[in-house]
Amino acid sequence: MLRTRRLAGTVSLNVAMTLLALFALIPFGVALSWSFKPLAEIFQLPVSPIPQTFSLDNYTAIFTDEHFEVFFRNSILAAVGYTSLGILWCSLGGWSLSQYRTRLNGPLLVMLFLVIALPFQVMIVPAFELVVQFGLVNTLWALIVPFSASAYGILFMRQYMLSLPREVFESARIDGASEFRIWRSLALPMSVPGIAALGIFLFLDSWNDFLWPLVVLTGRDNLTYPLGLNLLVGLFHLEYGQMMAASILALVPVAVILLFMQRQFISGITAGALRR
Amino acid sequence: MLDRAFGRLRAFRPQSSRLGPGWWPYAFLAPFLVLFAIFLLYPVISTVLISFQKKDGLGPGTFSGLDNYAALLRDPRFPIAARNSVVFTILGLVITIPSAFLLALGLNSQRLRARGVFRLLFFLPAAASSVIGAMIAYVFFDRQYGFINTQLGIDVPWLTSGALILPTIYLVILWKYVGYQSLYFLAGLQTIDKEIIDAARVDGANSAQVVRYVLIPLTKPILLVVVVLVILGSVQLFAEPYVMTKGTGGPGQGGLTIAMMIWEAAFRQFRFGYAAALAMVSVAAAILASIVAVRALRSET
Repeated sequence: MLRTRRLAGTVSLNVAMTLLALFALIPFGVALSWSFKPLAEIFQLPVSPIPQTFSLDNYTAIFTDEHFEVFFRNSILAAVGYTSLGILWCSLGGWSLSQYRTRLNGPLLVMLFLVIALPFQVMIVPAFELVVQFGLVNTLWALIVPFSASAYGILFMRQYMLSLPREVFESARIDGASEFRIWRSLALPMSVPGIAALGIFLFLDSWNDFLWPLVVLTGRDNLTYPLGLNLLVGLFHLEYGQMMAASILALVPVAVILLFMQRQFISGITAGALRR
Repeated sequence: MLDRAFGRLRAFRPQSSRLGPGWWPYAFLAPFLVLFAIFLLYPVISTVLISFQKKDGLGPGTFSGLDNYAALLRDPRFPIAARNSVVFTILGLVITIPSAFLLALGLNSQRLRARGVFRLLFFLPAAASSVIGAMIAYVFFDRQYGFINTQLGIDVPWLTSGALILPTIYLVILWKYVGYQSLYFLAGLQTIDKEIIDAARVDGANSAQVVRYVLIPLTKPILLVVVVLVILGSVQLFAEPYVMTKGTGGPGQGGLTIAMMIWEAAFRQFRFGYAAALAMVSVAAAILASIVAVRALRSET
């Protein structure tokens, strides 16, 4: 009696979670389906959930549009640049905060925790003015440099580096290694899993960002991928099929990262329950 | 033997650790601090100052006291955006958070198969760009040719009704963040000692009681973090409402958010002072609301 009830509970739990997962995935399924529909079919009633004729037109249109090639390349360059700088500053600073006790540590940590919670709008106007003053408007540098000093990132690296065994660094010091050498040759290699997690976090942060690129990229030609997608809504008057094909393409890097680096990814997102 | 000999040799070497790391701690921090001070600290302080200035676009502003704040009170769109932010917050608190917690309970259950796969699937929407979510929403909620209306045989003006645009945007937000938030709760649930749950079971507690009297109190620190995330997130909502209303705020401004107003004031109308005042008021309100919520939740057991 008790066992049947337990079994029924297990089955209903698995069924319920499967249904919920389907709900979470339906939008992606719809996007995929619509991306293969020829234009005529999208505005033809009755609407079928799956394409009646399978067409690659939408993808061809995106691939042959030289704008999208630029958008894609810009997004990749910006994300790689931002991620690399972010990892560099945060692994240097996080190392300092995890290893040395200076008078700066306490106040700095408090400040970082406060800034992490601050909504972006409270810095957006002066940050834009700075970008103008440095002559970075309409360049990818505006996406790469300014926020690469991520408060979340440095706290994450500090946390990770605190968990490294201190004895290793002590004995290297006794052997006469310089502090920089210890960071470069010991701390960095030992932190690779943490760096990977932070790297994924920063990459997606940049890849998916919308507001900041919208502010600093004012031209039509030099946009990032999400901005280009948004332009598609305005300029081409809602070509649903192309919109979906472009969306699916934007998901490819995300899906690849998720599949191959799942563990680092999840730990990077929730570690310390913090976010920029 | 040899080891010991080397050990002794080492002991005679000058030890850098005794001298202390010197200026190294600051050198390691310097690049981060320079960028952080320029692009984060300075802008925050500058926003405070600009909010008290008449400043239209680049170049210096002139002190104007509380003019921007007064203008804000007269702006007919401000109460709409503020109300929308409050509604988004309430929906987040009463729908997203409990759903995320329930989802985390499911994901945490030993009886669920392929837990890693489920965790990944629920997280997928959060990993996608907000713009993509909004794009899909067009195909999903189009009145005449959209997936929902045509497949369910209904005629709901999801995107074109002033009353429905906010709930529709919220559905996209819920879809995007419920799995993300559940990861926080999951992390909290996984730190709970199984013996505590077993002890409650032995004492005769049923599943609902275990959740109510053991799991919820023990994940409260996580709950506080998520509540703050929801409140601060609501005043920052931008990409979804912007794309889904094509930057207009939608019919009757039903999808207008504070962040959209700030963007528009600053980068369409170049009213920097006014945008700064909007930012100040919204962020102050959000922080205040967070403090009140955290206090209230903390005192309640």
